Amino acid sequence: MIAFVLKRLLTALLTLWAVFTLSFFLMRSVPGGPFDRDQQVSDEIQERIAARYGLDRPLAEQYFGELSRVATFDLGPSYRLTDYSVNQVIVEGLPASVTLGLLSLLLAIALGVPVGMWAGIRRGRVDRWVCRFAVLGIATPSFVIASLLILVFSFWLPILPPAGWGSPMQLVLPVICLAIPLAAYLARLARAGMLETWNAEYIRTAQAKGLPPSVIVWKHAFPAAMLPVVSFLGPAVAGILTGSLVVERLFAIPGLGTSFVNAALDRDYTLAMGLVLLYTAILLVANALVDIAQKLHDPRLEAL
Amino acid sequence: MSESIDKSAERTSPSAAAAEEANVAPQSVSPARQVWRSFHRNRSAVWSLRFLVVIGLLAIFTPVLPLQSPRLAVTELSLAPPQVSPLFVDQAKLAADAAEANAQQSALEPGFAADEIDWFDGALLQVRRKIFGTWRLNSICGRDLLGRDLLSRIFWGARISLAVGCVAALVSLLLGVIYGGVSGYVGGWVDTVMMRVVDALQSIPFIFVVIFLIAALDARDGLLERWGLSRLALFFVVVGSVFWLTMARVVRGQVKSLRQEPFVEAATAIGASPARVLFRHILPHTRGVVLAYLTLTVPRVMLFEAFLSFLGLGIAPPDVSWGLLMQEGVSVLTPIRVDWWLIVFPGIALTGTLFVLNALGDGLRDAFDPHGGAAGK
Repeated sequence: MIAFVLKRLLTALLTLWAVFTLSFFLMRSVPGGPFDRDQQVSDEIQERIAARYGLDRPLAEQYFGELSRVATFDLGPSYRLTDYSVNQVIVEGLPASVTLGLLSLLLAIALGVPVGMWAGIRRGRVDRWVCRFAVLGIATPSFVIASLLILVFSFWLPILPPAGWGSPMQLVLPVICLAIPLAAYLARLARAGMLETWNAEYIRTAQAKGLPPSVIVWKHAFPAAMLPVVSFLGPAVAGILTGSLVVERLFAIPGLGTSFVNAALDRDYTLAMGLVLLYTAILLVANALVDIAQKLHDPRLEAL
Repeated sequence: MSESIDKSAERTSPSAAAAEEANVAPQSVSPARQVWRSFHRNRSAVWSLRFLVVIGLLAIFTPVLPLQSPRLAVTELSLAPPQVSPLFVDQAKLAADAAEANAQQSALEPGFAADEIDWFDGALLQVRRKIFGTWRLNSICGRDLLGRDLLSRIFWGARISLAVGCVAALVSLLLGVIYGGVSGYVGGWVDTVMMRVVDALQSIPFIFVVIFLIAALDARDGLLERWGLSRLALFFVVVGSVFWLTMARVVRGQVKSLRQEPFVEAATAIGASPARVLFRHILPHTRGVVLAYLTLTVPRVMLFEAFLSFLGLGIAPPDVSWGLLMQEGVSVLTPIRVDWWLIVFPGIALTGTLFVLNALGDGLRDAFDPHGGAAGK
């Protein structure tokens, strides 16, 4: 187990390094700098800015300098937000994004898994309709859901605030928007897992013993049926990160997604790169946790 | 009944190989026919295919339809709600002053520059003039902030949204099939390394890198033109190069199992080169599964395009796409006046198309690849 964790850690570090290198050279290879403004500034000022951010030094020096800085979790100053470091932006945006993401993940699990299991057990018409709704949920972009929900619940029936951050009521709509596509995926996976498990012989044995259905479902079938669901949680985190870009922007939530979109639009290279690195790290941690959980869940799985 | 199945089977896989298979075993059911039967039993997939054909044809032949120009701004009708009566209006009257304003514009479709319309659309527009004159459907889906007809914008947006989806999916197809094919065929440590690379790439949130890249490249005026790329072309390449990973994995799995087949051994024995064996003998056999996953890639790409356009990083005006229409709809949303049609209609178009594409792709996958994890990883 320890060897496994160490191996994962090494791969994760390698991936992070690759992402860093890729985005570093992408940034530098794009002609023109982040300080191109509409108005012309004198060469002296240009040089000063370049010196301030270390852009006048040789490329190799910049690369290794920045690499060693990033390795110590210092993501440097933001190019556009004056007197702001990338770390500060992250510290300010992270709580909102984490709250939003975790709540959505929980809602998606609470919604998708039972419905999928129900469809897998009942089959027939229930199953067909659940499958159709699942495809619909997967197909609907989060911003379409968000716009429609705002339309209905904020403007036609003014019961929920359309935007903002801070009160629990303001959480409702964004969390639903992020959770629906994920819930649809999870429902499909839970259904597939349940379909497979429900035919197993030990389930028939449990039924033959006359155990109450709830015990069979939750105690016997549930753990085995959850295998595909658990393995999907890694991609699910990725989906939430992506979805949060649009949802945070739509609902004016001061999280990392908003910061990232603004950084990309403003060509704030250091901020964008720092956030890409952070997202990659989150994803890697999530994937590693899922792998470990899978191994604990099903000891038959080979060491990965 | 059996006749119709025959025809349909040919239609789904018109290649010579399928016909041959059917000839070799006339008594038993050929794989192609089995696939078609299994697909046919899936009613929602069949209906999706029909809808998709209709949507595709409507998008291709949009210029023939009596729709108002998607760029014709009738400012006095800004944010006019949907209007059904009268069903037809005279565009010449609507655009009385707008048409005069710009002589450079195409005479056929106000708002478009003359050189913007290729020969195909030009011919269609000519046909429309012959049939409908200047009569156009009234704005039955309402008008946007500038007074442009939303229905027409949805139709013209369909062309771009669908084209982006198809072309980028084809790019991903090319990359994925070649990469997966080589990896599965060569095997050994090459395979291990190539698949590790795919694993590593899959753990990178590429969407963020792409957003960053597009924003960085796009912001510099003239840079893309100097490289001979439009924003759209850049989009195809970048998006296609992100979405090939699943395809590579699937193709590799197929190739790996096909390699064991006797016909591969036979081809190798008569001296066919590895490249020939792979591209002529093995890869054609994967076409069913590839088709299924291609159908599933298209909605993913379209979703991504809509996503980027919604954030203001994708398709740029005056072009329209569904994501852009949604964004425009949301941007005029205020508590004071609720212009629901600007959100509801583009939302239906986008979601409906993505829905049928997903349903069709699922149906194809179940038919071609019954053991390939109905859950979809």
